[in-house]
Amino acid sequence: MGELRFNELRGEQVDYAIHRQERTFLPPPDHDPLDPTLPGREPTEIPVPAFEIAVIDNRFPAFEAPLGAAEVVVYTDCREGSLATLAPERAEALMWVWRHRYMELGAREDVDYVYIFENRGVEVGVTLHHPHGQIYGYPFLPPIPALELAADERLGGCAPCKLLTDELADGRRILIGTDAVVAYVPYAARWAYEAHVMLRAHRASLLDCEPAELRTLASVLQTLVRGYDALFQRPFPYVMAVHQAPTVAGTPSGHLHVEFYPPLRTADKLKYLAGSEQGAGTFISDTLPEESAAALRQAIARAG
Amino acid sequence: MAFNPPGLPDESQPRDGAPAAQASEQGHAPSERYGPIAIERLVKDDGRALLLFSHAPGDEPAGRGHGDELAGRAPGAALAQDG
Repeated sequence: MGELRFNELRGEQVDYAIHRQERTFLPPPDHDPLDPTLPGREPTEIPVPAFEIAVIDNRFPAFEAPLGAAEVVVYTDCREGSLATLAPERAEALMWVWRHRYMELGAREDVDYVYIFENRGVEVGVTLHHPHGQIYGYPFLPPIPALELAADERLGGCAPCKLLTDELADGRRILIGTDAVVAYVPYAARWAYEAHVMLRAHRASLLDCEPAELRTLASVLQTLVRGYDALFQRPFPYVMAVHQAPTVAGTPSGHLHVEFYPPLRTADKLKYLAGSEQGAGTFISDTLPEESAAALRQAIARAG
Repeated sequence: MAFNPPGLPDESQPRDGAPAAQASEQGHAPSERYGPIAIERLVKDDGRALLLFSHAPGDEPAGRGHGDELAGRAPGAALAQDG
């Protein structure tokens, strides 16, 4: 069981989950804990010989009942590949899995915010290469979703709706535009190749989406990641963050969107969070969002 | 901006027409349906939950209006800051 301490100077919670120090770290392929368990082989985390998508309680949870939850979402029983290489039907099913977990975890009294995310690449600290994401059920509203709700108040309405309208009107940073979902590099991106994937209609969460919107969301996410991989002809590391409405009663609504934070600023250079970012909270970027968007559009076109 | 307060579901009620299954003593539960996917719930030997999801084509997926899947959750569940 971890311990929450409130950092008064920053006004934020810090989670001490010291048992995670012992978690599995980059195991060899034949010891992949997210593989299915094959006859005659060592048992893995998933005791069946084949599966499509699996969700398992994290063996090394950052949060656990009665103060939250931590789950691992395994996209496939194949240890190779990525979100981008899943069959479209599997990617669409993944949206329904996310929706199901948002529903069940969000209904728990000890979960105030359901956060679906993926860490991809050792550059962002991934410890298992098997295609997977994670879900944290926070027993409080974390700072970044809280900031997004504060933006709603500051802008006098749904901030993501307004920002999407502005991006569509400008047009220079749009990456992918469909009837239901738009991907773009935001006007004030913090990361060189940051991208946001936004539902056109105001949808507080996956629960509010039409099936066709879920299908399109899956397709746009895959298209974007394929473009990322084509940009520098290498698997593109990123943190993918799914932001939705908090599930604690009494908080205002949010707007479902997915944010990507890739740490690469060139093919072989990482953006580090250093003095200004860590000590002052101000990102210094070497890249203009308009130029990044142009490069990403070309990469998406190359990826097909 | 409208706010649709989420809430506590009635665990005795099925969702999407599926039974509110619980893991059996054998660690398996009957398959549930949720939209276009089927769900099998298992419990591992160490007590951790494992859910297996598979595509189950054939039924019309559930659409919008599932915001009420969370309906009824009591307010005040936020963790009090310990500072």
